[in-house]
Amino acid sequence: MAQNLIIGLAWLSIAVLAGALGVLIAGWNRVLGRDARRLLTGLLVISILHGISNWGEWHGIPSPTDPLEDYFLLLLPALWGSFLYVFLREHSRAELHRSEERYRSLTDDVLETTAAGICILDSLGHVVWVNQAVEEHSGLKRHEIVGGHYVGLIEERLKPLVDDPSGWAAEMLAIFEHEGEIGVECHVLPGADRQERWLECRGQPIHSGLYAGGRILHFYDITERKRAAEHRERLLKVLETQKAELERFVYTVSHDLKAPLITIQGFAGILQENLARGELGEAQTDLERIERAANRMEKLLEELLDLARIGRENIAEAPVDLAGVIAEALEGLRSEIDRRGAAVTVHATAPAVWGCRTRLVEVFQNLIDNSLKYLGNQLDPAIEIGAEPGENEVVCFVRDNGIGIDSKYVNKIFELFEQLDPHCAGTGIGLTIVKRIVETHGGRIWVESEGAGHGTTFWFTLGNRRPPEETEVQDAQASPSPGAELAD
Amino acid sequence: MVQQNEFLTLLVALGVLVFVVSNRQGLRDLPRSSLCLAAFLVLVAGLAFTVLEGLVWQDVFNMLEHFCYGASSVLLAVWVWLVSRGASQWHRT
Repeated sequence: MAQNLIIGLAWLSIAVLAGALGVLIAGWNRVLGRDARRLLTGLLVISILHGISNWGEWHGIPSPTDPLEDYFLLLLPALWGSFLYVFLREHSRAELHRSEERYRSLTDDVLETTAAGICILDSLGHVVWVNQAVEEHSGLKRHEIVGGHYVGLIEERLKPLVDDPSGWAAEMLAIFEHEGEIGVECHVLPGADRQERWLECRGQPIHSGLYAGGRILHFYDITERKRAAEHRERLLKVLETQKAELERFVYTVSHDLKAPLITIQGFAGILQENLARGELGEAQTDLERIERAANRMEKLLEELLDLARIGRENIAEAPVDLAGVIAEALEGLRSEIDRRGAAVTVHATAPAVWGCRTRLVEVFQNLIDNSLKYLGNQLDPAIEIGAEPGENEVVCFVRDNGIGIDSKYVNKIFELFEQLDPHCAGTGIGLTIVKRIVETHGGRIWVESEGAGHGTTFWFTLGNRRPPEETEVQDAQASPSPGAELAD
Repeated sequence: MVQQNEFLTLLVALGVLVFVVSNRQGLRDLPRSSLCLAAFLVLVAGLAFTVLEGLVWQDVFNMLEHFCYGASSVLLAVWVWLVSRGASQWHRT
């Protein structure tokens, strides 16, 4: 019974081991390494021979293992030990290989392609590794950076690339002395092989690993952030200016609207008294004065609304021929020019400008009308109008030989309700409207006068093209014009 | 009567066993490691019974010895077969 069982076990082991050997030889070659597979094959062969030996032992048949005599059995644990040892060795190598692959993937696919520049310094301050972004930020090649000492790199290579090189270099050198994390900003100047940009460099010590005691530097491109901050600052300044203008506007408007209102109130009372006394002639005069005050108030309000609309309305912009604009403006003022007997000369050689024709006619009309008003007692009144090509803009002027402007008023005349002569007809809004229109056309306006009695020249420019990048700011400057609420 | 070759084989097997125990963490990465190591441990048991067979209860230990050899062979063969079926899951090397 026991003998049969043992013989059966021997057969069973021989059969399954032979099958396993077949599987192994047939192509089981992907799980283990080459050496482990060979040892496993040997282990299976020896196990089969051991089974045969057991079987033969019970039948008294010589076994193939007999020449090895009694030490054949020793092969079994020895092969097991070898197999497991080789597996571990191959497994360690494979792990190492995978670790290297992971590291390579990390550096090549992640650190190399990140937008932030990364620079690693060893404990002695030598640059041991930089990524692609550092090359792009600095315009230097990797071989020019790696291996060098950071002090030499900053002083000789990087310092010339930045704005405020001395201050930046001192801050960068301090990074290596600082124990904690530290940040430094710099402005990289544009060059042949690099773009202008703002960088924030953050350095921190390396506490462990191969480069313990060294530093890792991160360079972040903060150009967009800087530009956004500058843009915000500009907008804030514009907002502050507009707020001040609005406050001044409200004060001035309330003051100037009050004058005709007081006139109306006053003469309404007098009118009542005259009517009560039956003095109809006086009452008629009172009514005429009330009407004049109401008309002035209406004109003031209309012009204020016009001023408020500038920059808010959707004007149709198109190429505008300035010679035609000047001719139209003069046509509108023909009767007044004739009345004053002014000689008008036009020099319009400028090319067409991009803008709103109606508004530009308004500019010239206001300026010519202003000249006509302030011709004074000039016996030989003359007005000269011009539009000439300048550098990237058109320069226009309206010159007269009238009463001129004292230099202390040249900065005030474009302000709301400012009039040189308070008795002169007009509301004091015309030049403010002119300034606003010129500014919405991307231009600027100024006045020149050699003093009282020496005539006046109003100069203004108009852009040949609208600069797209400044459109937003200009719109922001122009749109919430003082009193804009009145237009709504 | 203990034979010298059987005793020497047991010593070698125990040496390998010490190696296995001390490297058990790494050997866990072997696919279906428990089956493979079970085959080895049963073999060690068989070798131990071989030695014991020379000292006491010859028939019993002889039976156990051959049973362990057979079981070890079957476990080893099953391990090879299972691992070969799931080879695509591991791709260890």
